[in-house]
Amino acid sequence: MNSRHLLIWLACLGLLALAPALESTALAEEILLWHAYRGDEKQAIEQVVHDYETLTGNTVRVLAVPDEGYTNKLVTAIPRGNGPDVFIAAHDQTGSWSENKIISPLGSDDLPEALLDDFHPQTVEALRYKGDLYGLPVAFKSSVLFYNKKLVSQPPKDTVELMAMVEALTNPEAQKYGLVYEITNLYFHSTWLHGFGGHIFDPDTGAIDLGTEENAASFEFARRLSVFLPHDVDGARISKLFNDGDAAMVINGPWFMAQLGEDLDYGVAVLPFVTESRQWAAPFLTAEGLFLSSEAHNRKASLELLTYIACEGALTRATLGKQMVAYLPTYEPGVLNDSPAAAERRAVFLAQLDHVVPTSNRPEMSSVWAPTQQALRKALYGAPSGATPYWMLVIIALLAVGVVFMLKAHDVRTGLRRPSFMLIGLLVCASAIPVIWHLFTIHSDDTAVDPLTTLREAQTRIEVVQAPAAIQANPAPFVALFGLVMLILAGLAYRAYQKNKKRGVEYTDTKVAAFYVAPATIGMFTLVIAPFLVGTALSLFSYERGEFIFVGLQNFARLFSGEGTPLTDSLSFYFTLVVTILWTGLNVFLHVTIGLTLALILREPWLKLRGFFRVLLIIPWAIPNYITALIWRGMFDYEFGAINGILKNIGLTPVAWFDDFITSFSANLITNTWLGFPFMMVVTLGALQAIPRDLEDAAAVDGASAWQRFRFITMPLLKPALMPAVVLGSVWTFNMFNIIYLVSQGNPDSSTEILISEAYKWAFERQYQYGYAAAYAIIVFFILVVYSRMTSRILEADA
Amino acid sequence: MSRHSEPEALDSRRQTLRSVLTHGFLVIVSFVVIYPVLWVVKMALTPNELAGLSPSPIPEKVTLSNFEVVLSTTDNAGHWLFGEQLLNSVIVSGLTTVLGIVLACTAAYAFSRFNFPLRKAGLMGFLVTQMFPGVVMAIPLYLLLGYLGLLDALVGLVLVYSVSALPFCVWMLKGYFDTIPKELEEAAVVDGASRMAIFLKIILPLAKPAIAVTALFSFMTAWNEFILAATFMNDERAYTLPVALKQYVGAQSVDYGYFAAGAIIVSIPIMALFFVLQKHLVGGLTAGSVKG
Amino acid sequence: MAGLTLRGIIKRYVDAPSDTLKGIDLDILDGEFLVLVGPSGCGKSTLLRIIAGLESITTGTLSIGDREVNKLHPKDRDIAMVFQSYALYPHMSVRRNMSFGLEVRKTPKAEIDKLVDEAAKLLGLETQLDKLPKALSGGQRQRVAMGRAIVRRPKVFLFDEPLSNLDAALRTQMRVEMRRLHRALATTTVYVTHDQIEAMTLADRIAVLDQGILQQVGTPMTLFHAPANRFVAGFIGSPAMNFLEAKVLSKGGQFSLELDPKSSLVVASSVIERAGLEANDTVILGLRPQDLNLGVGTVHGLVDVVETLGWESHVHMKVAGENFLAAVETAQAHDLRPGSAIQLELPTAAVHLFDPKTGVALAHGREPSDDDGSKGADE
Repeated sequence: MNSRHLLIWLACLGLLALAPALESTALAEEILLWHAYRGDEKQAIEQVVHDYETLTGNTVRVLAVPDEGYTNKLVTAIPRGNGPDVFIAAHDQTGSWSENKIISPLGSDDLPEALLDDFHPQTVEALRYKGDLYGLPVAFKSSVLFYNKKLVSQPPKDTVELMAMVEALTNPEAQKYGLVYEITNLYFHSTWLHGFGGHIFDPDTGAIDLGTEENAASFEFARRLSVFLPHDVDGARISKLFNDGDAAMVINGPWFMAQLGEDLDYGVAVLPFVTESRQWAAPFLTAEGLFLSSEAHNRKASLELLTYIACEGALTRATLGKQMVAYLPTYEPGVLNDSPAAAERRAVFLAQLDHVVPTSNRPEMSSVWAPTQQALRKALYGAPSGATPYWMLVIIALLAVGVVFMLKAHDVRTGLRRPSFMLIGLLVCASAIPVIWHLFTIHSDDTAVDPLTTLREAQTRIEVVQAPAAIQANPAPFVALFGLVMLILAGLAYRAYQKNKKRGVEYTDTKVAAFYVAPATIGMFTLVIAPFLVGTALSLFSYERGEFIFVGLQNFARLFSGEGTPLTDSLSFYFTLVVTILWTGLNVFLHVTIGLTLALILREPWLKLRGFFRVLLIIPWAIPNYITALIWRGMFDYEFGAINGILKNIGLTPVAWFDDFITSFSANLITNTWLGFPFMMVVTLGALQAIPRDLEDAAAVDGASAWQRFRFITMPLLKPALMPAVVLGSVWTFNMFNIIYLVSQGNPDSSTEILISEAYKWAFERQYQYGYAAAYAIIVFFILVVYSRMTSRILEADA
Repeated sequence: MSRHSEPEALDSRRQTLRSVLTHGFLVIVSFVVIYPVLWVVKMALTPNELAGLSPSPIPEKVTLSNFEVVLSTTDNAGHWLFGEQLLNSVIVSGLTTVLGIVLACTAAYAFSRFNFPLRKAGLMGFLVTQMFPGVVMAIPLYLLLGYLGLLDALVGLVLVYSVSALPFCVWMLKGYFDTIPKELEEAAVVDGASRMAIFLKIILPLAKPAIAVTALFSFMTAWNEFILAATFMNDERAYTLPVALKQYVGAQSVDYGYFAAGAIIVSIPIMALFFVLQKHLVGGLTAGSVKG
Repeated sequence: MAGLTLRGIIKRYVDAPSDTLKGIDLDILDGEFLVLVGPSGCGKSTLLRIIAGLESITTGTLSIGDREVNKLHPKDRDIAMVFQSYALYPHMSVRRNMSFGLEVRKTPKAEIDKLVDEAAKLLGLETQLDKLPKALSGGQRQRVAMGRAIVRRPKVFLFDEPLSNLDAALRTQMRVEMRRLHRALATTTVYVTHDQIEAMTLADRIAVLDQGILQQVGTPMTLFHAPANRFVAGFIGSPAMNFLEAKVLSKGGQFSLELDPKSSLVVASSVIERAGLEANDTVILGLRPQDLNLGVGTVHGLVDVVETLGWESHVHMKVAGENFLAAVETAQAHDLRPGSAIQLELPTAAVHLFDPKTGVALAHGREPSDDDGSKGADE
C-alpha cells in the first residue's frame, strides 16, 4: 500500500472518529428524565419540569421516548449507563426491573414516610415488590364503562342489565353494536375475571393459578358476550365505532377520552356488578410510577425531581395533561376547576378505584398475557389444530416430489423419455389428495373449547415459557474446544496456503487487494461479524437477574427437547421449524412462479405499454416493507378491511383472518408474495436478456410448442442465472421478520411465528431470555448455511 | 430485442386472441398489485372520521388534512419535528449511500480482479453474513455503538446501515465487474494508467448501471429501516422518518389516516428513485454486458 | 527505438499439464516487423503478453534495448499494444481514447492535442474524433486502436491479432495500411497472428511457434522455401503443402522415391545425399500444390473434387491412397471429372524431404540462396 492511499483512509477514519465527539453534548450535571407521553400529557410533564427548573435552578433533560419498545429500551440502556436517571413507566414491570437491577428501591431515608399517605393506597401498593417500594405513583389508569348518552339513557348496573342491553342494541347487519371492547385482550377481560372472583396468581402461594372454576366462569361470560361483539377490533376501530355512534358502550381506559370528538355526548360509569358472583367487576389497575434508575448519577437531585413531579406537579398534570393523578390532595374540593362533565368523569374514575386489582408486577406476569389471551380466544372462537402445518408440509412435499418425477420423465440433456417416472410422479401427486381431504376434515370441527381446559393448557404453557433455573456450567471444556477449533482452522488455512504455494499460485496482488478490501472488511468485522460472534456466545449463557450465567449447552438442550411440549404445540421448536419451512418454500415458489410468468410476458415484443406495465409491477418492491406489512394488516381487518369488504360485496362470509392458522398464514403469505415477486421478475428479465432469442426461434422452426420451448430451451438456460437469486431470496424470506411481526403478529397462538420472530419473542417478550433467543438464532444460521451449501452442491453437480 | 420474427405462422385471429388474453391478464395482475396502494391513497385522502371503509379504492370525500397534520408535526418546544426527521432521514440515507458505494465498489473490484489469499473464503464470508439473524445482533450492536459513543448519533446509523447492505451490493457489483472485459484494463495498464486511475476512470464509469442499483439499495436500506433506528435513537428529534411514522400505528391508538399520509410521503422518494433507475435495475442486477 | 531480446523464456501456469512456453530464445532487431505465427493455443499470445508485461515470466529474461524488464511494470516499458478486441474504452470519445495514455502520463494538453491530431490524420480519423466507439465501423475501430498505440510514440508496438475481427476485404486493405504505417514510423513491432497470409505479407521476419516451442525464425521466403520442419512447411504457404510417405529406391546410381508400386519419382542424387538418405529408407515427401504439373508424369492419381476459383483451380485427388491437392491453372483442369485417372509431373527442385519420425527437414530440392526472402519490392 503506498503512502497516499494510507493517507486517504486515515483521513476518512479521522472524520468518523470526530463525528461522535461533535454530537455528544450531554452535561454531567443535568438530570435525565425519560417518559413515553404524547400530546397533552407530554406537554404537561414538560411544563412541570420547567417549573421545577425555575424553582431549583437544576437542569433536567426530558426525553419523550416512543411507547413502542420503551421498556426494552430501558432494559438495554440503563445497565450500559446510557439510560435516564428518572423515568416514568407503568408499574407492571417493577418486579422484572427490580430483579434485573434496573431500578433502585426508595428507602425510608429517601422519602418521608408520611408522604405516601397522600397517594391512593392501591397505586402505592402497585409499586411495591418483595416489600420494597420502587417509585412514586404519578397517575393511574383503569377501564370504565363509556356509554353514548343518545343510545343509553342509564348505564347498566349489573351484568344482567348489561347483557340485555347489549342484545337489544346490537344489529350486526347494520354494523350497530351494543358493546365494543377488545374481548380477547386480557387487560380488558380482567374486568370479568376478577368480577367472577377469579385470579391469576394464587393469593396464598403466589404461584400462577389459572385453572379455576371462577376464571372459567368469566370465560363463559365472555363467550356469551362475544356473540354480539365485532371480531378482532383494535383501539382505533373502537374509537371510530364509538365516535360514529355505532357502538353504544365501550369498555376502555381514560386515554380513550382523548380520541373522542368534542361534540360527542357520552358518559362514563363504574363497571357493573356481576350478578352471577355477587361481586363488582374489577378491571386491572395500571399505576404509572416515577422510578429511580439504579444508575442514577445524582441520587439526591433525582429524588427531589421525582418527588416534585409526583406531588407539586400533580395539579399541572391533572389540568394540562388531563391525567388521573394518584396524588390525592389534588382532588380536594376547590383545587381543580374542571367543567361539570369533566368533574363527573373524574369522580367515576376515582370511584372505580374501589373495584380494581393492580396488575401483578411479578416478572412472571409478562409470560401470562399471551397464553391466557390465546386460551380466551380458543374458548370464544375455537381451537386450531396444531397438526395443520405438518399436514401442509406433507402435501407440499408430495406434490414437489411428484412434479420432479414428472419433469425427470423427459430428460432435457438426452431427450430420454421415462414413462415410468411420469407414472410415479402422477401417483405421488395423487397420493396428496387424501391428505388434503384429511386437512379439510380436521379443520371443519373448530368449535369453541371448554374454558377450563383452555385455562389449564394456558397454565402449562406459561410454566413452559418460564426460563428453567440456570445451572452454572464449567466453561473450561468450551474454552478448550473453542481453542481447538481455532487451531484446526488455522492449521487448515496454513495447509491450504502451503499447498497453493507448492502448486505455484502467485498472489501478486495481495498488497493492492488488501487496500481495496480493507475498508469493507473492517466494517463487516466490527459491525456484523463481531456482534454476531458476541450473539453466538450469548447462546451459551442464561440471562437472569441482570447477569449472564454460563450454562453451556442447556439452551440448546431445551430447544431440541421442544420445550417438552407435544410437536403440535406452537411453542415447540419443531412446530416453528415446520412453519418456517412452509413459509420459505411457498414464498419462494410463488415469487419465482409469478416473477417468471410476468417476465416472460413482459419481454414479448408485441406487448402494448410494456414500459408502463413493467414500472407498475415493480411498485411493491419500491414500498418500504414495514409499510406494506401495515397496509396489508389493515386490509385483512375483520370488520373494516378491504379484503372482507370485497368478500361481503360478492356475497361471501367475511373471514376472521387471524383466528385460524391457515388463514393467518395465508395473510402473511399473500403480503410477502405481493412485496417479493418484483425482485424475481426483474432478475428474470435480466437473465432472459442473456438468452439469445435465436435459440427459441430455432426451436420454434424445429416445431417445438410454446411449452416445449419453455421447458427445454428457456428454463434450462435460465436456471443458472436464477439460482443465486433463488438462494438469496430463500435466505431473506427465512429471516423475514417484519411481515410476521406486523401482519399476523404470530396469531393465532404463536402458531404463525417463524424461527426468527420466535427468537425475537424469547428475547424481548418472554422475560428477556437472551441466551435462549440466541440459541434459536444460531440454529437459524446453521440451517441457512447447510441449505445454501446443499443448493450450490446440487448446482455444481448439475453444471 | 426489437427484432423478432414471429416463428409460428399464427393466423391473425389466434394472434388477436392471444394478445387480448395476455393484456387482460396483465391488467388484472396490475390491478391486484396496485390495489393496496390505491387503498392507502384513499385512506390518506379520507377525513379521519369517515374511514369506515368500503372496498372501493376511490375515496368518497377528499381532504388533505392528514397530510397537513403529518407535515406540520411540531413538538412542544416549537421544533418542526417533521422537518428535522426528514432532514435526519436524508442525511442518514445520503451518507449511507456514499459510504455504501465506496465500500462496495472497492471490495467488489478486489474480489473481481485481484488474486489474493482467502479471496474465495472472503467472498463466501460476505454472503454468509446475509444469513446472520438480525435479532441476535441488535444487543451486541447496541453495546458496540454505546461503547463508541454513537448512540443517538446519526453517524452510528450510517455505519450500521452502510455495512448491512454491503454483502448484497458487493455480490451484485462483483458480478457486473466480471463482465467488463479484462482487456480494457490491460489496455489502460499498457497506456500507463495506475491501478487507481483504472479503477476510477475505466471501471467505475463502465459500471454506472450497477453502481446506480447499489446506490438505490443502500439508500433504501437506510431510508426504510426502523427497528435499529428505534432502538438506537432516544431523542424524538434524532428519529428518522420510519420511526416517526411507526408511532402513528402504536399499540394503543392507530391513526390510519396519518399513517397512510406518512407512508405516502416516505414512499415517494423511493418510488421516484425506482422509476428513474428501473431500466438499470434489470441490467445492474444481472450483470449486463458491456458492448464497445 | 529499441530491439528486444528474449532468453530462455519459460511460462508455467498453475495446474496446467505442461509449460505454455518452453524456453523461447529470440532476438528482435530495432525497427524490425516481426510476426509471431502459430495455431491457436501455441503460446504466441502469451509470449506477446509477456513482452507487454501483462503476464509474469516463470524463468528467463526479457530485455528491451539493453535493459532487462522482467520486473518492470507495463507502463514503464514504453510499449503500446493493440488488442484483438481493440479494447476501446466504450465510455470515451475517440479523441479521449487516443489521448488517455498521454493524459495519465501527464503530457501537456497542447502536446496531446497535437499528437492526437497527427495520428488521426495519419489514420484518416479526423472526422471521427468526437464519436463514441460504438458509433464507428469495425475498420474505424481498428484504426482507433492503432491510433491509441501510435500517439504515444513507444519503443515497441505489440499487435495481438488485430485484423481477425474484420471481413476479408477490409483485412486486405488494413494489411497494406499496416505495412505503410510501419514504413513511416519504423518502430520495432511484434505482431501476433494465426493467419499465415498476414505473416507472409507483413513480416520482415516470421517466428513460427508451436506447442510453446519456437519452430523457426526467418524471412518469409526462407520459411517458404526452406521450412525447418514439417510443421513449418505445413503451416506456411497456402494451400498447405502435401505430405506423402515414400521409400527411397536406388537403381544404378539414380535415386527415386516410390510412393506406391505404380507411382514413383526420380530425384536428383544430390538431394538424397544432402538428406543423408540411403536406399530403402522411408522419408516424408513434401510438395507444394503449386509446384505440380498435370498431364504426363510418373505419379498416378485419382481425381476426387475439382474446385474452380477462377483463374486457378484446386484439384483434390488421391495419390497412393492419400489426399493430395494440386493448384493449377483452370485451363489445365478443365476436363477433369471426379473419378478420372490422372498423371502428375513432380519437379525435383520442388521436393522437400522430412524425417518421418522427428519431422525435421532433411533436404530441400532447391537450396535457399542469400537473396531469398528479401522484400525487394517493398523496400
